[in-house]
Amino acid sequence: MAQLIELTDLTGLCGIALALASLSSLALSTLAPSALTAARRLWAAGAIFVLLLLPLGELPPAAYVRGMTGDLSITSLLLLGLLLVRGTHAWPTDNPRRIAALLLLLVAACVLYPLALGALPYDSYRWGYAEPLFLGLLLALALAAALLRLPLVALAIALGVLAWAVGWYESENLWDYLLDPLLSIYALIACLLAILRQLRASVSR
Amino acid sequence: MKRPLLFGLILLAFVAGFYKAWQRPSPAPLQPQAFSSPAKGAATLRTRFVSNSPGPHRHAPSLVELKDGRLRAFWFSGSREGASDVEIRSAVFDKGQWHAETTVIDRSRTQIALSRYVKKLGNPVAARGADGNLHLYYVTVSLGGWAGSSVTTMTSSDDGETWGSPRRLVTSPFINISTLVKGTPIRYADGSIGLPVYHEFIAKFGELLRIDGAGQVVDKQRLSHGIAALQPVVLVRDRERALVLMRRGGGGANRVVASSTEDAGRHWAAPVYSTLSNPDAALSAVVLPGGVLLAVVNDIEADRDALTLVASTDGGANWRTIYTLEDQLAARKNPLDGPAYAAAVKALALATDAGLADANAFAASSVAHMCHGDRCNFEFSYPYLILTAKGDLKLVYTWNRSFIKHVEFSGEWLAQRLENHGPAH
Repeated sequence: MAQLIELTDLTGLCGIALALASLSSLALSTLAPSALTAARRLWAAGAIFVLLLLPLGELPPAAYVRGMTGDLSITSLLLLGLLLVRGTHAWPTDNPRRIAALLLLLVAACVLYPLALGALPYDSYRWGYAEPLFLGLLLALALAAALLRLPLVALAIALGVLAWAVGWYESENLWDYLLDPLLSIYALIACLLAILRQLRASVSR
Repeated sequence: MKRPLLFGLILLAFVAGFYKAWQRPSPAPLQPQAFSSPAKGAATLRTRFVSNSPGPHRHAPSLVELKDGRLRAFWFSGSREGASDVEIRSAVFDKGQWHAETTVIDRSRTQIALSRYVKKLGNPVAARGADGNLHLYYVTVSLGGWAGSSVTTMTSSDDGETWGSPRRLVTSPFINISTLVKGTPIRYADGSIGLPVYHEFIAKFGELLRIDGAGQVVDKQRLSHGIAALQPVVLVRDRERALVLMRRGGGGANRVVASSTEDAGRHWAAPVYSTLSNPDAALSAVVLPGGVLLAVVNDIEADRDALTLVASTDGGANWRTIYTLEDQLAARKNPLDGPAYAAAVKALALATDAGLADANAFAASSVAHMCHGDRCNFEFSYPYLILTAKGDLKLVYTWNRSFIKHVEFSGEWLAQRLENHGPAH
């Protein structure tokens, strides 16, 4: 008997498909920048998105990826969605605000992953189970980010908290909406590259 | 993005967020197991095999008492541990015999229901919810080995005859890997389930998940740090106190690791090595109505060729052997080759159940799974012990990776054993 897909599986799969569609269209834009107008890029991404959700054997391709990566954080989806919509023309530059946002991500990852994986007796992942102090901290961060002209940071926190509150994914833990390992790796690499560029720039002066 | 819109979104998000936080369950006391007053019966000990069909590799059994007093066992079965054909299987014990085993769930149906790739299945554990439903928790792996495991759950409202669709429990931020089940679930006073789990990616430690009536994970607690430990077994002594016994996780002493709580699990003491030996193997334990702790362990420092019933009357500080379930230690001095091993296994099988139709098949199956080259090993492992509402003990364990052995002791048998093997006065 055919079974209706769970809503949280649909959101999880769509998130993966969106991420892969965005990355694919970015790759295509980089390889053939003149051939791919903004409209064509979006159409291509749309086609890839649909293809990733069509069954291939027992599961759609996005489901195989989902088995490896889990559901992507709302922050990841926000960044990849913006990348898809704005294209490489809005490729991030090395302004201090961007680096501050990346550092915030890195600090969060350092607070979360080592403790969750058992480096210390204390488990920071527990805060994500509706710990009011954690929510308070995030509210302060979101407001500060909004005031300090870091709208993406504020938006990512707000959307993450909202998605968690409504049960968008199967996870009951707020951390899973704010952060994921792939995003943390991206933040680390992006930070290191930005620092390298700054160093090179100051050396060449 | 316009600032008023952004602030509006922040407001909306955090109103929703704090509302969710306000609804989360507060810490609850533990719920010790309830018992009816047992009728004084005969002192009996019976042994059987859960299934008689030879062939598959069978491992990691668990047991649950059904509403009408029958038993249901679960285990995983396939061509070998970790193969893609491994399924979760089950059988019911009724009127003195085990009925035909059935498949509960397999890898293919799991991955379709979860909408994600699943590579293999592992340990199944069942719990009775406050709503009377049966909840099955089983290990699923999508990436890597057992360290890459996650927990998947299914619910049955008819004591395991039929099951709802599998759902994934998200319990870890790192790709949700490395949560496994083995120990018997406990209950909190508010009806939520305490599922002992363990983590074995990089660090090895035990945790206790708190799962609410809707099947959602609402909290989790670290049970150990500093000593590598796996497969926690939580023994609820009263509403505030519990002991946890854990398999040693490699390195350190060959001993069971123990910790305790005095505040219903809000805090756990630093883990210590207990006096019980442990050869890096699973154990199981229960609390008897009078507070005596009973455990089934491989009380040896290496391998799993002996299995013992031990008891503690002082909260786990000291343990005494009260019955030897299996003992093939003599074979270590004179290792058995294939034919000798087959003969020994056949004798053990008939000693378990003299009415076995085909003890040769038992021997052949054990040879297939436990002989490598000229060397054959015995394995009696992964015990799962429960106390029924009437005070009888039911035990299942892996028997040479080929069959699941079932042992039942009446309350009267146990009382006599504890009396005869009790601590010196």
